[in-house]
Amino acid sequence: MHFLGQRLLGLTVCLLLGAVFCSQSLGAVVPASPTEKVRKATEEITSILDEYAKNHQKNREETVSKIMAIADQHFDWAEMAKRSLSRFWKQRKPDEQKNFTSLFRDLIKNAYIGKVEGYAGEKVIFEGEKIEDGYSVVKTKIITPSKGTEIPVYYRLQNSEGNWMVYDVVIEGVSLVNNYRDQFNSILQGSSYDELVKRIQDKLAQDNKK
Amino acid sequence: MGVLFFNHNSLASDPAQGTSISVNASEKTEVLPMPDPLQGMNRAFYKFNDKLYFWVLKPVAQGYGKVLPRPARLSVQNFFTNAYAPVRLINCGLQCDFQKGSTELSRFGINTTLGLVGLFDPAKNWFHLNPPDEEDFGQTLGCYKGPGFYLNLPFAGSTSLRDGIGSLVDLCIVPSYWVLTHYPAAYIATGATILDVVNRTSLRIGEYEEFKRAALDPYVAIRDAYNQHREDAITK
Repeated sequence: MHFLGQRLLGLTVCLLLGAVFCSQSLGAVVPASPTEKVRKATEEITSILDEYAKNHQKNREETVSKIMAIADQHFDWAEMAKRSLSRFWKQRKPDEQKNFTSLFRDLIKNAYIGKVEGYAGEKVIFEGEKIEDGYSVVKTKIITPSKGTEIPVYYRLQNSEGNWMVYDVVIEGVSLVNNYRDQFNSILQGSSYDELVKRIQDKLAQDNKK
Repeated sequence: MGVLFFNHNSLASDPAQGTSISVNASEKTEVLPMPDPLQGMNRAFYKFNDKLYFWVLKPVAQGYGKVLPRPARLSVQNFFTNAYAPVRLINCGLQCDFQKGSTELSRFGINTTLGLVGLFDPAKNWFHLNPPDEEDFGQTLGCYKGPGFYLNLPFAGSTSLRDGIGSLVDLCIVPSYWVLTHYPAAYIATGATILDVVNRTSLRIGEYEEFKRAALDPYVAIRDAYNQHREDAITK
């Protein structure tokens, strides 16, 4: 009976906040710790979402682009794209890698960050971090009081040139990057890289139509 | 008995308790993909479950949700979660996790009495006994064995060879099984199971939709999410 699958399905909001989360103040002089980064980002995004809710969800496009601007500061999209393609990444030319990175970013944007309507006053609790050899994990829990749910969300960060950047989000034990990697692999093994790109482009086009 | 894609235990668990994650340089934490030799059959059943959700379960759960307010549905969910405590307790014992087992036992005692047969959760609200990570027989087996291979079964949804066997074993511990095997109550047990499924679904409408929307290939996405989630549960 434990056929699971899913609380992780509650991804949306998690990522929404989550994904979003990692913001950091502009012009910080002292490098922020991973937790500080995630906390700041969470606060910034929460305030954007609160405002959006207050404005009766009128300025959707603007809200999404504000959130994406914060996400861009804290997500290492290239690293995420690279990990999601795993061994196939090296086989791609630099301009293909660049193109794929931008497709990956759009995929995440549409899937999670574009879901600003799903925000329901979630609270984020920080439960500690671990740092090891330039990598770190920030553990959080996202609480939705109206639903009575608590979802563990971990952010994996990597130190790149003194700056902590998120390269994966793990919701209830399910890594976002690993999940996309399994899907990409399955397509790549059955067909080709061009086909994978086409499938992603088709999906993005379909998302945008809705 | 499964709820397509959802497991029966849900409410707020406290994953922080006893959670240990390792931050390894890069990706040592990686989960190996689950073998899927029966993909053709699994995909067919996945499609069936997907339709079952959109055509039957979801509309029924939405109607049910309109009739019964959310707090009442949370109480129904608490009731079933409490009723399954023996399954979790026994598996804590089998895994020699006595600390978790004693929490389960205390919670079961308190919620069954003060919590009015489990409808409420005074163990958490008054005694700060948060529900521990849930144990089942699939996880007990997981201490020794890998998942074998992936299965997607009609009505039940995602499982694996190991977890499917685990579910059958757990079924024998679930109170409803005993009722089920003693006839005139069979209808009651079946009804209770359906109520549990519909009730839980009513509390998570939209989650599967979102998950599917984020996926390039929902079947592979669910298979992988199931795999990662189970591996994570086993290490807890």
